[in-house]
Amino acid sequence: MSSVSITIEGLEKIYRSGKRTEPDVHALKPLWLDIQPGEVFGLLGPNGAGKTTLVKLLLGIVSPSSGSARIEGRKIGTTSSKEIVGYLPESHRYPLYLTGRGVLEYFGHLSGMDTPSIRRRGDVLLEQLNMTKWKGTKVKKYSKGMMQRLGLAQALLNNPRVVFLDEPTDGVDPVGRKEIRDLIGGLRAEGKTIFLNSHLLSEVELISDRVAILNKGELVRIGTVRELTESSNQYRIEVAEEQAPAFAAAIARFTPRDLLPNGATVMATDLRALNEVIDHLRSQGLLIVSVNPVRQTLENLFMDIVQGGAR
Amino acid sequence: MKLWALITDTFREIYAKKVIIGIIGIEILTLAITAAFLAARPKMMIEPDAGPPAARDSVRITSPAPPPLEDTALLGTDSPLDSVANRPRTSSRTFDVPPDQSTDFQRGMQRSLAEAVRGQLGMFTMVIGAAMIFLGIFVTAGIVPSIMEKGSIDLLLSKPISRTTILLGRALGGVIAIALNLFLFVLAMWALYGIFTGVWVGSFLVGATLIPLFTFVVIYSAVILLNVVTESWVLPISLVYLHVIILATFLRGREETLFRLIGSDAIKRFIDGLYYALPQTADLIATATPQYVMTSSVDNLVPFIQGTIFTGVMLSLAIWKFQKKDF
Repeated sequence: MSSVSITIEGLEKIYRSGKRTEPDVHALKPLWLDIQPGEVFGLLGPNGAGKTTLVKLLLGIVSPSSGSARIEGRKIGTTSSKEIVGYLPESHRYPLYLTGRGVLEYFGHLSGMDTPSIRRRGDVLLEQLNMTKWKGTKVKKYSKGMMQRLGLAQALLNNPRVVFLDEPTDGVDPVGRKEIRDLIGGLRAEGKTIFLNSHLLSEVELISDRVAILNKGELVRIGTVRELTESSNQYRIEVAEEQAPAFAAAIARFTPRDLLPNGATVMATDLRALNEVIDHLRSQGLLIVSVNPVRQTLENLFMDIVQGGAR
Repeated sequence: MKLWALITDTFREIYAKKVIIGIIGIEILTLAITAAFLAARPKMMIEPDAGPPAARDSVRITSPAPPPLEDTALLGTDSPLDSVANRPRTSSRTFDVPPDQSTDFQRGMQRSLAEAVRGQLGMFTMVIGAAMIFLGIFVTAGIVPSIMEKGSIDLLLSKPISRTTILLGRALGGVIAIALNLFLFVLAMWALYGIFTGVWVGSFLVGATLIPLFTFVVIYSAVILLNVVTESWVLPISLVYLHVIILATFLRGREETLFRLIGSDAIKRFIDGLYYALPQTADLIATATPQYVMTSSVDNLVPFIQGTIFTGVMLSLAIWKFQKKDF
């Protein structure tokens, strides 16, 4: 197995309109990225950010305008690269005349599996996803949540080493979401690489090891959830409660963002600036109880980026 | 295994449609009407109480077929050919034949009956061929666009299977489904005629199956290319019907009809070019098929050669376009 699960080198996609009156669409600007084996990698971005284009490029559904990528060393779009991946697309459609088991057999055969293996593995997955009692029912009778569970079973049927999940909890109730999160956790524990595309920021935050944010076809942020959310340069300083009035007067010169009963949030571009604030407060005889970096939520960061506030 | 999965899925998709149930219903009805028609025809028989032929002056033979030409002299002044022309096809005729000539007469009658049956089946094959194209295209025109819908194509293309296999697997599934349906229908029709007339026309079994199926494949290859380009079945089906109903017929009879109205040699050459570039459906269905059923051979192989080249070109372009396409 390669030391890097997915390697992306300058991958770019431009959809040519072919007409003078319509501009080309630069769906994905040149992107460089490495995803490690066993990593849960969350991809965020507003509609039209290029998330689906990136996944489709990696799966060979669309061809790149330039650049290249490899999945465990195998060139994307080749049959060999597809042998080790599983994919749950957004708004997937299964043949309505098939039963749940029929869907698994059809896609299992397309993945090169034999019928006994499909049945063995399929039964285990359907059991894990609470779908055993529905496996003989035609999918046209399935609810959206059931379709999603069946889609997950289909994506994991060939025991893939890299799994692409596009909105895996779409249409699933809260209990089902928890089950799917647990399933993804189990896949991570098995060492599988998960590429997760979701609009649900809280979900991405909960299960992703690293997160990338795409906007207008460009990668604007990447890092662990902790790295992304602690880079706000804001610190919360608290003093003893009886010193609150003196603290309010002393902190005023640093234009605090929030004034609390016994503390305040201040901006400090680096540690030196933070220590200047602390030195000033101590010179005023104030006793500092705590100094903590303020983490912003992934949602706030995402909104800042989407609305053009952060880069 | 992968190709087989695609073929069987296509097969299931086609047979899950209500329209195919309707087609099977029409076929069963056609078979039932044919069986009733054939059952009502009188059978050839020798007068049962006439005794041994040698002991009598003549043998009385009843037959649904016209008498063989070489034996008309036996029948006196009442010309059998005149009678045949004026008689309903299902009525029987009775002939008094000298005993020593009765065997030859019966053989001649059987030959005539066989020719009549071949003629009927030849005409019947043209209807089957035309119906085959219209209904077959109607049933299969949607099976390639259905996999190109969002949510389906993404999933298929993510599997370790080439785009060529996906496209050809779908196309092959469609052709097999139609071929099976056609073969069973022709087989039933062949058996009905054989049982009721005693004439087993092997060329019908082959000609009514293979030539219409070949024609269907030629036309369907164009549908597949148009499916891939337009991602729809509406335009392909419209163009194909337009070609089969109007264009192919006019092109086939261009020298007798169009060329009399056109003075320009350049336009005539263009029309000739169209005739040789587009599937010669009318030649295949209206000429080659009945001819094969009646004579077990075809005179003109050009429509077959042209059809094979046309299919190869259409499928190659469809595969090339499907491979290049972003979904």
